[in-house]
Amino acid sequence: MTAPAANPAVTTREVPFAVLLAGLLALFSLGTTVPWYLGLGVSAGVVAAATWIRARVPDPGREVAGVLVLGAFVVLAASAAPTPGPILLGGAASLALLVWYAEDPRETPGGALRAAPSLLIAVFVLSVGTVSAFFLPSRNAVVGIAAGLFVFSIVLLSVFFGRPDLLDRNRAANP
Amino acid sequence: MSPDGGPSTGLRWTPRAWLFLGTGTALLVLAIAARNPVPVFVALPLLVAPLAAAVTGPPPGFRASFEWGVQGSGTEVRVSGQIRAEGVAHAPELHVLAHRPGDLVGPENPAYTATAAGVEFTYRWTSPRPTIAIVPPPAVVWQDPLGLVQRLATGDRSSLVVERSPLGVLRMGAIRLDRTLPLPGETRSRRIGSSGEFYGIREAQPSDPPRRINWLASARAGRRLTNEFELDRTGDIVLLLDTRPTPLGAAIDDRLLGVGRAAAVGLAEAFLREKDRVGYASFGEFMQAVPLAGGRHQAGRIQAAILATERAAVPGPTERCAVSLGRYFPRGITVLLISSLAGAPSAELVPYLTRRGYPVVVLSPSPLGLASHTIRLDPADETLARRIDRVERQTSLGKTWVHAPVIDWEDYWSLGRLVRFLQQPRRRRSA
Repeated sequence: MTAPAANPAVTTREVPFAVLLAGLLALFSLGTTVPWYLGLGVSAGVVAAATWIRARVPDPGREVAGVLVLGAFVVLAASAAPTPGPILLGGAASLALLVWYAEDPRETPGGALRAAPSLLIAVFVLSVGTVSAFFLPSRNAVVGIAAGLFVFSIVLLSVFFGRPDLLDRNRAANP
Repeated sequence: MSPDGGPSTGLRWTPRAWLFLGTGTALLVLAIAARNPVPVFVALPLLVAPLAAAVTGPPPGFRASFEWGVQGSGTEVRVSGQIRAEGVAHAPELHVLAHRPGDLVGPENPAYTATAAGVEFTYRWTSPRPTIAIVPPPAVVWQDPLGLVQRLATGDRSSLVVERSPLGVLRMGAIRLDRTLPLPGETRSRRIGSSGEFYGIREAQPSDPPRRINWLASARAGRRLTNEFELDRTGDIVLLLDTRPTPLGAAIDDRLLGVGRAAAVGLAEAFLREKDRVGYASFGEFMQAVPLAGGRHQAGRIQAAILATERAAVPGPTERCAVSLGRYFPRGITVLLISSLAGAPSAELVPYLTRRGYPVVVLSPSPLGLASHTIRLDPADETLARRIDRVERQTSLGKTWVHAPVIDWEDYWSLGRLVRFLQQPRRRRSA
């Protein structure tokens, strides 16, 4: 079963989300060792190419769009300075990527709004991590984040490797 | 799979979810290796999103009601329907995954329209040739807006039959077929039809052929009137489909069989409409047959048998076909053989049938329009190759003409040549 794609018509409603993603990615690149003009060019070029591919290329080739953007994320994150600015902007750009994904031109409009519950959970987790990293009184907060990520990774791996039913909610016996 | 053997209703992770997981893990490894917290914060939303999408979805085993049908005419095939689901907050997240039959072309994915009641979907396909095909029951899935997880809906689904018959059979009218009923004398029918004794006059319909218009009465009345006749006899016919493999290859054979099946369905319905008795047989390795009968139920039986007809992997001997036909159908009955006549076994079938006492008419779908040369030729050579193919085809059909009349069926959307031939019983008998 492949991921279904719907309306093949290309619209311009995803453009604002692409601009948002490109802007945050460009701001994120300013906190890296990559020259600003190169970071700006990569951000704009990658997002524009990904948006075009996602709208025009049929399945399954359109998934290349996400690979392009995620590749840019990895490259920029590897060269980012460990300061609060890149941390905040990196997280925000990652959230913008989710919003960009939600507003698929081949699906019914309003995907970003419908994905709000999932996005809020991601925002919540990111907020907790950021707040604990910045505002807890000691450097031991990093240990807390590491422990949380460890537990999270275990759960994630157990889910992905053969137990997707861990997330299944039981149906009521008498609905 | 679920315990009851049906498809699993659990969560399915899409390739995009795996992409998120892989990238998130790579960023975590990068953060640890570089002792840099930035990749961790970039990775967090990517790792959380699939789980969040799964948690916010409908419960396992949620039900979705589903209705669909076929519209369109000619080459256009429009499959549309509606999905309604319980426990899904947003209707646009429901998707239908239908398998497009090989005879049809067009996008694999439908266009969706969200309504207050659910989701309406429309597949816009095209049928380049006449066809009859089954669209199997589709799957209905919920997919989160991020495209990360899917869950299969439960509920009853029905398959769909797409039928596009050649247009000629719709206006075929009455054809006097030979009768093999053992009753002596004339068997009068209570049905009013297009041949037999004069019965009366009625308003003309657009489908009435000009020959049946009563022009004198029309001139007097100022509107078109048609003669009606009291049918006095029924005829019998057997549609025989040769499904044996030929030297043309599996791909061409499948297309020719698809065209032949569509013709068989259309012809059966047309003859049954005229109160004839129709039988159906297909011969691959062995014979599958629907005995002679008339009426609406017979149309359903024949359609089901035609839908179940597939290209045979192993060809059965020609003599077996002729012998088997005698077990189901009496001698003297008109046999309409649908065969490409490509290859010796198919061409040999006609003399075997005629020797057994069956008058045969061959409808031979031409493979010339379907075959494509594997070698690229310049236009002059291409034209020459086509002419050679045509001469070769005419030669092979000419050999069969010695035993029975052959209709070379090149324009798949028209059965005009066959209908014109069948409407002349003398030619049919003398051949």
